[in-house]
Amino acid sequence: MQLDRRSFVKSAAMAAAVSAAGGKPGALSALTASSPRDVTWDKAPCRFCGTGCHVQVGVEDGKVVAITGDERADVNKGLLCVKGYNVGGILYGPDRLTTPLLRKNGRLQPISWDEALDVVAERILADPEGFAIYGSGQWTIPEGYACQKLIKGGLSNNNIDPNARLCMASAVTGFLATYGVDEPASCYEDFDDCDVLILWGNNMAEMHPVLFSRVLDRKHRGASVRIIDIGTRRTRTSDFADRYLEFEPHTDQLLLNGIAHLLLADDAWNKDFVEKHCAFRKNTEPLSLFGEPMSFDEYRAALAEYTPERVAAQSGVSIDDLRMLAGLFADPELRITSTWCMGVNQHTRGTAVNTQIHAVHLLSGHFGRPGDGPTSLTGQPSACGTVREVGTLAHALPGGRLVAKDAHRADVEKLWNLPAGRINKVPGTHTVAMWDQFCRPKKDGGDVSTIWVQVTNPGQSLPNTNRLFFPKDDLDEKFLIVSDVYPTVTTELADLVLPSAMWVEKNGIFGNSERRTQQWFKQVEPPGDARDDVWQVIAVARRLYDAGFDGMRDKDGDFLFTIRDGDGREVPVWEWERYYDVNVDRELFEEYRAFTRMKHKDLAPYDEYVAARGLRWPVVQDAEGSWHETQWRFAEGLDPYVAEGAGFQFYHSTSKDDRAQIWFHPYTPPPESPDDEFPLWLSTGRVLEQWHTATMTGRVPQLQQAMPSAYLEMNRADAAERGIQNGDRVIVRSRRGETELPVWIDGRGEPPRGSVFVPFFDETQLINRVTLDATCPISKQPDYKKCAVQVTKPGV
Amino acid sequence: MANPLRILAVAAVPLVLTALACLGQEGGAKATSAADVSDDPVSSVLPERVATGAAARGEPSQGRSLSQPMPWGGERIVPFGQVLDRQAAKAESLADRATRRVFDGAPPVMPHSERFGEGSKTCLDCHTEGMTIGDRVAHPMSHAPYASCTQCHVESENRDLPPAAAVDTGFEGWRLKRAKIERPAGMPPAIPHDLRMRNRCLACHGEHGYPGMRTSHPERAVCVQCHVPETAER
Repeated sequence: MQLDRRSFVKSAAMAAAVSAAGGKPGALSALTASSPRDVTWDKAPCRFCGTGCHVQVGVEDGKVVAITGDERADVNKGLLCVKGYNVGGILYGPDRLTTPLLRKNGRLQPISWDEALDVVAERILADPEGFAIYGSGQWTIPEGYACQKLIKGGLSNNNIDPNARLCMASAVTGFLATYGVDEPASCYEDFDDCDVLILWGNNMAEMHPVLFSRVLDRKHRGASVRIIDIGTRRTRTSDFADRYLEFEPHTDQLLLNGIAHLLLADDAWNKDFVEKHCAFRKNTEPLSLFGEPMSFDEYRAALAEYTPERVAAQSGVSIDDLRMLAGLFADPELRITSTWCMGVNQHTRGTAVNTQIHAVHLLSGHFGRPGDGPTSLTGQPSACGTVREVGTLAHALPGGRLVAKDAHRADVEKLWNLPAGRINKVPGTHTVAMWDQFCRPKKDGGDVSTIWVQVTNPGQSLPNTNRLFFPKDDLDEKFLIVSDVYPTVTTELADLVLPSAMWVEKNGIFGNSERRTQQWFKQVEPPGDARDDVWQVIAVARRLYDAGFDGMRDKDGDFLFTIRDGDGREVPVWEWERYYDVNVDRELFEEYRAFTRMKHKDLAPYDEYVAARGLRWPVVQDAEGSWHETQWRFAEGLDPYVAEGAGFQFYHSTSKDDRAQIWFHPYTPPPESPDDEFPLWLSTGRVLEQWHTATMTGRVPQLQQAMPSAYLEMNRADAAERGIQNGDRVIVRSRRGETELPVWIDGRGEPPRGSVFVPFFDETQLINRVTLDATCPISKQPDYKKCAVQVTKPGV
Repeated sequence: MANPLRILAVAAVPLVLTALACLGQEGGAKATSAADVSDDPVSSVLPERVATGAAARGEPSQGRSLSQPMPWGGERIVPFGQVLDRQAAKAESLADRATRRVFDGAPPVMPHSERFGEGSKTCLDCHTEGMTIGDRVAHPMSHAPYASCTQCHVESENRDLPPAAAVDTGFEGWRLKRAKIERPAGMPPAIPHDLRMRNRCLACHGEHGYPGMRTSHPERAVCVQCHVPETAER
C-alpha cells in the first residue's frame, strides 16, 4: 500500500486520536467496519429430549439463524448435542404445513380455518363420547392443560391419553407405587457427585448425551467415577463404560432381585434406613398399583430363590459380576446414581422393574444425598411438565389427582368453577385401547370414533401398527384429526390436518426430567396459516360454546376459556388476530398453578420462570418473598416440606406412615419369546442424530446425512449363518408384520447372538409394523424392546 | 483533564509506527533497495530483509500450499516490514470452514468416516495437537477437550448406510460478515468471532489450521494479550 503524504498524515492523526482517547486497537476497526446485521438472542429450552438443555436462539430478519448452548443454564452449562445445535433448522423444511387440509375424494384439499373449526366441532357434537384426544410429551404445559380442560372439564369425557403412555407410564407407576407421588426425588447435580453411575438398559451416550457428558468429563478430568453399563447389546455407551454387563432380555427383573437377595444374604442392607423410612409391599391378585403390605421376613423369604446361581444361569450375567454389583450397593460410603429410560419402561413388567430399582436403592440406603439415588430419565421434553404434572392421562386430573377419586374430582370442579358432577368418574381409554377401538368398527366395540392427534406421530410410533393404526384406512366411519407441522405417516390417513406453530414460533413451557419447569417466548412467526395448538383448542371450544354446548360453560355460565386482560376485560382469544393481545400461556399457567400444591409440586408464578433458566419444583416462597427451587425431595434440609428432625419423610407414603415402599416382584417371563419359527429377539430404539420419527430432524440436512436411514443391527455370527452380509437388504418379520431393511454389522451397536436391533425413526421402513403391543398390566405401557422375529433375505 | 505532554508522547508512538508501516508496506515481495532506506534514519538501523520462496520469485503469497515454505520462513523479520494482502486466501479458508458448519459457531461435521478411529477415543490422537500429512490436515480442537466427541460432531455423510436423498431446507445459517478492516499496519486485529468453543486459537490460526488464516507469529503463546474480542458478550 503506497501512502502518499496526505494519507499518511491522515492515518497518523487517526492513530493519535485513538490513542489519546485511550482506545484499544480493536476500536479503530470498529470505526471503519460495517456494522453486522442485527441478530437478537433469546433463551429457550431445546425442542428435543428430556434432558432439557437451554439454548440461546439467534434470530435475524425474522428467521432463526444460529443456536448456541446457554452458558447460564444449570442443565447444560453451554454444551449441546448435535441435535441441539441443529434445532434451529427444524422450522425450515420446505413442506411445512401452512394451511388446514380436509380430505375430499381421497385427497387432502386446502380449506379455511373457519371451515376446519366447524368440522372439528361437528364431529364432537355428533358423538361427544366417541371423541378422544391423543396428545404428547412434547406438548407445552398450556397445550396439555387446555386439552384437559376441554375434554374432561367441558365434554365430561376422559378419553385423553398421550404418547408418553408409550415411554414413561411405567416410570410413573413405579414412582407412585414406591413413594406415593410421581417424579424423581433427585436432580442432575447427582451426576456431578456420584462415585458410580449405573445404567440400567439405557444408551445414555446417544439419548441423554449432555447428561452423560457431565459424568464423562468429570472422569476425564481425573475424578474417580465408575460407569457400569448393564444392557442387552453393546452401544456407544458401553464403549465409555468401565464395565459392560450383558443380560438376557427381560432378566433385568432377575438381576435386581438377585442384588436384593445378596444384600440380605450378606447382611449388607442398610438396617437403619430401612427400619426408619421403609415398608415392604407385594402384589395383590389381581395386580394393583398399591399392592398390600408384607413383612420383612416375607420379603426375605420371597427373595430366597433368587440366588446368584439361578440369576446368573438365567440372565447371563456372571456370579462375580452380580456380587460386584451387590458389593457396590453394600458399601455405604459410595454414592451410586442409577439411571434408566426405555429399556426398563418399555417392558411388559415395567412397573415392577421400576419399583425394583427403587427398592435396591432404598434397601441399601443409597438415597437422598447428592450423587446417591435412583434417577429415572425422561425421554420427551415435557412428559414430566405436561403429561405427568397436568395429568393428561385417561385416569388422571391435574396436580396428581385421579378421576376415580370423589374428593379429587370435587377439587378440580371447584378450581375450574364447574357444576358438581361435571367430571366423569370413569377413567377413559389408555393409548393402546384407544387406538384399538379406533381401528375397529363401531359395531364391533370400536367406541372411539374421532381422535384428535396433537404433536405426535402415532402412525409411526405406536406398536403393532398393522393392528393399531393402518386399519383406519378401511374405516370410513372413523375420523382422524391431526395437528402437526409436517406431513407424516399419520397425516397420510388423516381426514383433517391442522397446521401448527412449532417451538419458538409460539410461547411455551416445558418440564424436564429433573422437575425443572422452563419457559420461553415466541421469537419468530409461524409460516403461512400455521397457528398455536392452544389457540386451536380454545377456538374449537368456542365453536362448541357458540353452538350452545353446555359443557363449555362453567357454573356461572362463563366460557371455560375466559381470558381477561390487565383491566379485567375479556379478550376474545379464540379469534386468531386477538390471540396475542394477552399472553395466553401466562393466563393458563397461573390458573394451573393452583392445582400443584396438593402433591407438593408447587409451581412459582409465570414471571419467575421468565427470569430463570427453569426452576425445579416444589418452588417455595420464603418470608422475604423470594422463590426457591428444590433439588432433592424427601430429605431434611433439602426439601422444604420435610419436618425438622425427620431425616427423611416420604410425605405421600401409600402406607400413610411417611415410609417409602420396598416392593417385591417375582420374575414373570415375557409374553413372547423367540421360538423355532421366530428365533431372534427384536429390540427397537433411537439413535443420536434422529429424534423419534424424524419428522423434524430428518429435514435437517446435516442430521439426515449423518444418519440417513434405518438398518438392522445383527450379530456377525448370526448373519454368517444366514448367508447375510453387511449391507444386504433383509426382511424382518414377526407374527404381526414385516419390513425390509439393510443390515449393518458391527455398526454403532453390537447385538449379541440371538438378537437384532432396529431404530424406529425411518418413515420408509416402519419397524412398528413388526413390534408387539403387549403392555405392562399396571401402567399399560407397551414393550418395544422384546418380541420374536425372523430375519430372511427377500425371496427366501 | 489529560496531561498534554502525555498525550503528545502517546500520540507520537502511533506516528512512529505509522511511519515505519508506510515504509514497510511498499516492500511487498521485493527486497528493499538501498535507495529506499537511504533517506530513512530508522530503517537504516534495522536488519536487512532477505526474501525467499514465493517472495524471491516476486509472487504474492497465496498462503495455500502446505508444501511450500511460508513466505517469511527462515528469514529475519523486519517489524511491520510486510503486510500481506491475504483476503482471497482468507475468504477461501472461511468458505472451506463454512461447508462443514451449519452456521458460524456450530460444531463442524467430520469430513471423514467415524471409523477413522473407533468412536470418540481415538479422535484425540489426531485432533489434540493436530497434524498434517501430505495435503490432509487434521485441525486441532478449537476448544478444551470433552469426552464424547461424537455427541456434537457427526459424519458429513454416513458411509455405512445407503445415502440419504437430498434434503432441502430453508434454514440459512448465520455467517460472520466482516468488512475489510482498515488499520495501521502492525496493530493486532481484534477477534471478530465469538470465543465460545473457540478459545484455542492455534486450531485455526496455527500451523495445522487454515492456510488463509494462519498467524504470522505462532510462537507468541498468549494470543489474547494483544487480540481482544470485537464482539460483545451475548
